[in-house]
Amino acid sequence: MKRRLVHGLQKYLLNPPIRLFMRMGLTPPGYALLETTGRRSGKPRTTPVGNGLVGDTFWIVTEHGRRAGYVRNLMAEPRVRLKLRRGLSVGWRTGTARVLEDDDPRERQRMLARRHPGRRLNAFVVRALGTEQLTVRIDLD
Amino acid sequence: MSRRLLVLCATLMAPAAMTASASAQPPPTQPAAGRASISVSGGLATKQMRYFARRQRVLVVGTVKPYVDGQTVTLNVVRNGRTIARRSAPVTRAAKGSGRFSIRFKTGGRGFLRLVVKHTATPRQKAFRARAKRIRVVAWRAGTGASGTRVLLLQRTLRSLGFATPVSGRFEAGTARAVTTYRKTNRLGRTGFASTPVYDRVLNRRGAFRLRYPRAGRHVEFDWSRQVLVLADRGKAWRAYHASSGKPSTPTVFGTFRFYRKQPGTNSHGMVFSSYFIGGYAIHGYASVPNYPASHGCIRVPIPNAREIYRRMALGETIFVYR
Repeated sequence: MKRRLVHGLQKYLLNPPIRLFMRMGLTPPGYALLETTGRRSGKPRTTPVGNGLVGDTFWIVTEHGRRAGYVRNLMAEPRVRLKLRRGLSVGWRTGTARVLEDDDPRERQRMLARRHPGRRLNAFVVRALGTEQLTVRIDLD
Repeated sequence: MSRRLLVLCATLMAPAAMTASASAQPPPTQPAAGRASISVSGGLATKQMRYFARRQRVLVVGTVKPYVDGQTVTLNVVRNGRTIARRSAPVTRAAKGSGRFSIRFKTGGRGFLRLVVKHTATPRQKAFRARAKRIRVVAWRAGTGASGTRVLLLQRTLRSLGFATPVSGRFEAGTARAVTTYRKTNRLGRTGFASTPVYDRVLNRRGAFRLRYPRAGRHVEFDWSRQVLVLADRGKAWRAYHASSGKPSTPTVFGTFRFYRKQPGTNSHGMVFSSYFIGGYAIHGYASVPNYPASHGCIRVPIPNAREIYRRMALGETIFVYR
């Protein structure tokens, strides 16, 4: 029930404007745009996710585990693209995604949020609205 | 016989010497009254009693009011009504017209000791004595199943020295593990029995784990040769744990690493709350943690401690594994 509510809210209310902003090249701080390949359609699908860039690795802690569309997509096709902010400019980077089965998502959030108050807020929202956390690692090329 | 004669001579001559020195100064008025109080430090204390090991140094500090120039006090150590040691110390000037003194002595065998500090009358200050303090010299030992003051004091001290132990007053498995860790740290035999040598060190508040990397901030150290895992912070061992690393055929890696993955719960290998630091090497809880290196390369810790260790270590934190 919670998942359906949150999912609907995000899919139809929150994500579209953020996606629009990012398409236009304006990145709200703390966000990145993930592009996966549709597991059935094969079309590119974009989802705004919290920015979890550490060096050349991008971390995502998901809200609904394996049930999120983008997680299913990247499990089917691990080659993904990420639109990231680099200083003032925004650029695409490609990478390979992997779902980490036995990672501790809470600890991962703690690691990401260190010295990043924005990320801490994002981590809190993910925990508050989410139902099942899962760690996804994207190794950027 | 000759000794008695000497004492006689000394007592005869002493008043003469004193009067001589007194007459050199302006004529004394009334001798001042005096009050003194003492406090004892060292050893371990409950609210009722202070405990010492055999042959341990005791420090008796006290204040005298009012301060009068050139006075001395004497400490009598009394056991069963007999004075077994006597030490004198000068009273030095302290704040607000009071004087201080400090006297050290070493305890002997076990038993109760009464510490009496006296001042014998002089022309300038009357005789007085401080309220006596009682201490107890012990040769304790304790093993699993023991309880009471000796266990409580052991637990408190081990905890403050940086060993992971419950503080319950009962000697159970957790306490036994802490004692094992303490013994390993101090290179005593690897058992969980708190023998008298263990108590002697504990009563002296000795035997804390000395870090090899005290400037590394919050970090983890694993001392392979002693098989002790230490969580460190601010240059001190915060908690030391019993651990068992890789056996000779599958040794543990040495070096400096950072935790890169943490896995809560139990996995299919029976590893509980694992924190990986390089490749497949992790710190994890395991059912069997013997007192020798036994694992397949990981650092095993007892399952009851696994969760608190896991929670305490952050991803990215440094671990030093050394010989």
